Amino acid sequence: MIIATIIGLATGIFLGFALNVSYPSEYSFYITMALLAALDSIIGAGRAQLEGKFNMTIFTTGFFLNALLAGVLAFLGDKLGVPLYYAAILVFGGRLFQNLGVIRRILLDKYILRK
Amino acid sequence: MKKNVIIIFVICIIVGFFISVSAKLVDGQHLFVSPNVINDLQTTIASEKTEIASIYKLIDVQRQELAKYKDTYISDSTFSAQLSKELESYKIFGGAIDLEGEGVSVIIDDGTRELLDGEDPNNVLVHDADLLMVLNELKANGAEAISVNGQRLVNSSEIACSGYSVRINRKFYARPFRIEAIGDSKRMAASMVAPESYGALLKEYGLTFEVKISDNIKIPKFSEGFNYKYMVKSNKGGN
Repeated sequence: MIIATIIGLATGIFLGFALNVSYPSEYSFYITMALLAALDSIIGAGRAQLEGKFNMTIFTTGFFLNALLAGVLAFLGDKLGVPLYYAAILVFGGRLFQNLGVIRRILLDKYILRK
Repeated sequence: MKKNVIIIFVICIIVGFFISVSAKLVDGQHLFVSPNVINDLQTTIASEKTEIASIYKLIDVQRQELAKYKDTYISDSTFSAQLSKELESYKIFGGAIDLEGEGVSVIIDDGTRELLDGEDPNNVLVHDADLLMVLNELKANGAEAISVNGQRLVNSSEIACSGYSVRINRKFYARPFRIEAIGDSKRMAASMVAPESYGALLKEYGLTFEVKISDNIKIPKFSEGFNYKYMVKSNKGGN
């Protein structure tokens, strides 16, 4: 599972650099926000997997909905003149670190501290 | 389980793909622009756009104005009168028109005196140089238009020796030479007969040199036609 995640990310990054694909630069900010949410979802999925309560439906819906919400928040913030994307950055960024911390602890428990 | 792994794999590919595409596109630019700055820039752009629009409008207005002016100027009688006046003055300067006015007529002819012993007969003949000197004196004293034997002198007129005749405007003329000049008649006549003048010198040599003041000198137009091959209008500055 985790191996699949890492290989998938690497393949995607390689494909992105190899293929000459681009989108209008005015959307780049929103897509970056969506990417943050997507990364959070993936790290969260890893954590749930390690905790043994991973649910594919929850992951898939969370992935797309969070990405969509982050992008929409950034867009709405731009239109209203209020930096609403801070909310997305704080929540998803904070959860990224939190989930990563949990994953680290689980892995440490599993492979090192148990010895 | 296997299906889950595949889905996760595909989703990760998508995320990685977008990460690298974004990185390529953004490359660290405009990441830290505050909404205030964006707002300011948008205001500036909007005001510039309105200014551009108003300038375009101004250009349109000026174009219409210009077209109107052109129309009225071409149809306006005073303007066309002005134009024809200008054209006439150019015609006068260029010798395209018959002229008349106050002036002098000078007749130069070969001398009739007996030659001295061994004297060069050229001394009593009229030469092209004599004519040129007299013409130059006339010009220096206010001649506005000059003809020699009925040939209007323009800027390209030559006076060249050609045996016993003189070539003027590519036509050959023999003595006597009748120079007519429009201008300040008294001044020109005085310069012709002044003691130090070239005319006095010619008289001393024994040539015939007569000056007559006239109120109605007639000078014909230059009728030979211009044939310019080399000069073109300069594009650098000026009109």
